[in-house]
Amino acid sequence: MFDPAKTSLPQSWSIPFAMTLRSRGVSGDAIGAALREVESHCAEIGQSPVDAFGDPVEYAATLAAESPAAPGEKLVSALAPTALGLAGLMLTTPTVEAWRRGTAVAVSAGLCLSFVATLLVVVALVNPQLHRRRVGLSILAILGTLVVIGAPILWTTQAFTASVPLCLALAALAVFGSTAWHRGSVDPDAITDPLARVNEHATRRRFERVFPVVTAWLFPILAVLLGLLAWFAPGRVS
Amino acid sequence: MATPSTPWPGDWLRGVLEIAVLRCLADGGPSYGYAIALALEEAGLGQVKGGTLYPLLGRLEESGRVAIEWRPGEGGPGRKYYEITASGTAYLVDSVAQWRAFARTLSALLEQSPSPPA
Repeated sequence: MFDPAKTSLPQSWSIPFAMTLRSRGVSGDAIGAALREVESHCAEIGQSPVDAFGDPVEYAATLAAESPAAPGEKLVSALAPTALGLAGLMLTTPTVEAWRRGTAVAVSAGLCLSFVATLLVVVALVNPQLHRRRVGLSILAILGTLVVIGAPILWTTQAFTASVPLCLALAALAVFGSTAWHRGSVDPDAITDPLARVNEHATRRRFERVFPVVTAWLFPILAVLLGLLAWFAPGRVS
Repeated sequence: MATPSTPWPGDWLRGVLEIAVLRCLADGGPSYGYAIALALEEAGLGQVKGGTLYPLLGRLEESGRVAIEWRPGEGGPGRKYYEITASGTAYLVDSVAQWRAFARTLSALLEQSPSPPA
């Protein structure tokens, strides 16, 4: 990820410039290229970005009208695997507990509500005009998290039952499907540095290389841990 | 050519800047924004602001009339090089022919003796 604050441009210019481009749906690649282009031009001509390009918000608006938009599929492909992984994770604990008890899986109303809330939050996130106009992103995230986590704990009324093999297969399909999907789409349209791609000596921090791998395998790892807890320490997880 | 003492009207420049940039790239080979701005200034078009030049270069890139390549800078920031493509060259040839016809027509009109008021 390319940090707009870490160019040689004054932050008072680069930050509103990058934010305006981002808020107008310009792709991360195009934002990174525009920042480098301004930086390069200002260094060559010896002028400030205000003198050479004018007001950052106005210049960004001009560019945004002509730049390729961030493809919506990129955002969907980054968020949808997470929703799938969460759904699999939510199914794991009641399935393993039912398996240990030798009964059918009792799916609670709270779990169903939690699953629906996850889907709604994802739909709202991939349609920015929804949460920007009606409810702020932070409020949406807090409410969504409360419902997703709280509903299965507080609303335990049984909604329906299902067989253990079916639920195990669905949970495994969801968490491993999430990993496979996530590994194929780890770039949520981050701002990229065009020079990093051509500079052989450009090295990415180890964290940046490891992070996508860890996040891709997060749901299977959590599902195994939750399954072990549900099997060996029943009643400790819900 | 010397820079004009007064800048050319912005409306005039907007109409011709695209073919002027393509001409610079066709004649001088791959180049980057600042060098293109200098070439335009030396050709007598005056100083073209970055805020005017780069959106135009972006449009040329989008339309496939130029290809781009980022090259690391030597002791400074990297540079984005623009190179005219075959489609850009064909567009330039057509545009130059059209422009010449337009300039002849306009010159003929402007060089007519003004008619006395009725």
